[in-house]
Amino acid sequence: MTPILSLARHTLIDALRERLLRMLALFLVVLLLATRLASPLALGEGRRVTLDLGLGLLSLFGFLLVMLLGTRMVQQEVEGRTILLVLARPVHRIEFLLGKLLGLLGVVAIGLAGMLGILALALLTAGYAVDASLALAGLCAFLELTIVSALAVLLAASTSPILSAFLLLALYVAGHLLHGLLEMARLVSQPLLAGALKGVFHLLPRLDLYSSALQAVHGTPLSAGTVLWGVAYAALYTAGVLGLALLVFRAREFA
Amino acid sequence: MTRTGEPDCALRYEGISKIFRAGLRRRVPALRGVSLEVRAGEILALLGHNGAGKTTLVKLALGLLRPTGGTGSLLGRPLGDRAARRSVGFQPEQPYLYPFLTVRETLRFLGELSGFSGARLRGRMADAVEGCGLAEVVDRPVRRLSRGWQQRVALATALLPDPRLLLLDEPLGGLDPDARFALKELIRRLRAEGRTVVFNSHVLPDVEQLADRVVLLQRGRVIAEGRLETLLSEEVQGFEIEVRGALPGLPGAEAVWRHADPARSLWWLPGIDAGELQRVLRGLIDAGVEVVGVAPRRENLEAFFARVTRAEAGAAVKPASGRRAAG
Repeated sequence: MTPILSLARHTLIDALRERLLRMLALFLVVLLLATRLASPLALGEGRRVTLDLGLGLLSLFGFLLVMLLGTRMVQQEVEGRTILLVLARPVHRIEFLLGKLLGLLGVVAIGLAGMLGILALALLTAGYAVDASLALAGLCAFLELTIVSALAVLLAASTSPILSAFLLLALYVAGHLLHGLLEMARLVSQPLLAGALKGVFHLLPRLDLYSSALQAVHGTPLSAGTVLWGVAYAALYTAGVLGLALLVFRAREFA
Repeated sequence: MTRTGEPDCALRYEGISKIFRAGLRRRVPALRGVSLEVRAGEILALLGHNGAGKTTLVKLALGLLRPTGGTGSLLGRPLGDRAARRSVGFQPEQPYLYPFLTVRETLRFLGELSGFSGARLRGRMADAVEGCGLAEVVDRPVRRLSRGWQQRVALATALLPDPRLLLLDEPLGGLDPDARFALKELIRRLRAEGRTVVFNSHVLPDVEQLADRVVLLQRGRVIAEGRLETLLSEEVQGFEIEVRGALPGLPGAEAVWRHADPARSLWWLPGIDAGELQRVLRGLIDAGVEVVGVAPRRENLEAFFARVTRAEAGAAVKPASGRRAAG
């Protein structure tokens, strides 16, 4: 087993031992309560309400999962000094970061699969149809969280867990409001400011790309091009962020 | 190079300095121009007070820290080189382990990171478990083990890569006498197999029993280095006298040990020569004291350590022989 896979498995096992199951259980409780509370207000749109609530909660809990695990995972090794054991072995620092990211993505994949399963169960028990669009929504959520996970690794490699969590939240919110930034750039009369706003638009993660999954579950099909662009963007952005994380992490010393 | 084609020098530092930054302005020098060679197949002990730079030297070798100045080599490759680390075992100063893993899981994980898999990994794990006497705790979570057991697990993780060079930071700390004895035997066996061992320790009697060579660091500088027999003074420091019967008042005599039988005791007479000893013995016999034994005491490592570090802190005092490093 390569160091990357070994580190990924180790990260995954660490997360599964304590946090993920609690998160899933919480998701189940919140989803059941929310659908129960919202069903009298649905006015015949029960499936839509359940799906909107479910996918919203899935996105939120997925983000919380990444924020809680991802921003702490490097610091945990540094504070516990176990990083000395790892990096004293023939492990390159990019392998360490990749292993951590893959482990985190494994946790995200299991978490999303679990939450999608719960959502499907909630739909089926309420007598609503479940189709493949739910899986597509899961893929979009996974791609979005892949980018967020890479950002979490970058922040975790650079700064403290609390600051990382704060910055990650800021990037997550900004990533969903990017269209507003582009609109602002169009409206601004000063070319320099407009250029700066466009620059920021291109630097920030385009998490809004993955919001289209909601349209899919409500019957508006997603084109193959949109899905492929979403996959390609997630891969490229993640690679860029990881490159930056490596630059930061290579400079770190462990006294 | 040795006959097997391995470099004669397992670890080398050339003019290494390391400055840590504390805050924006403060710079703390940890090492100041350290030059040092560890020969293949020897046991070398790094000695010094806390903060002398021992751990920093070890971490520089592994690439966990980068030198501010100077250069060096690890198993013939640059310090911290990834390929060289494949043949290095490292035990940090505390047993830093993953508390949620069992001993077996810990060894498997760190063995995989060392590049082993399948039967080879199982073989290395079995050797490490046997070598460190971990069989009875192998399936217990690390967090449930005592400090001494955790120390053994940490040593086992250092042995996993089948290392040509072992870097052990305070390996004897926290071990009970049996475990300490077993560890010393293990280190000797590793040397006999041709491996190189570098270790830090504050337990000087153990260092004296184990090390082929010692390097004494103070405030980031090497202040003495050499083989113990060349560093320690041959000069007799005084005599120990074991007597039966009441000891009449002897000026300067210090009780070293008292037997369960109150009539027997061991006394240390510092700073007397053979002539004075003759006079003391004659006086004791005349006073009816039965002298059971007399032994000259030469300088030990503790006395050497105190002499050299105090001298370095104050006026320079030359050691008996061996190399005194220029500051």
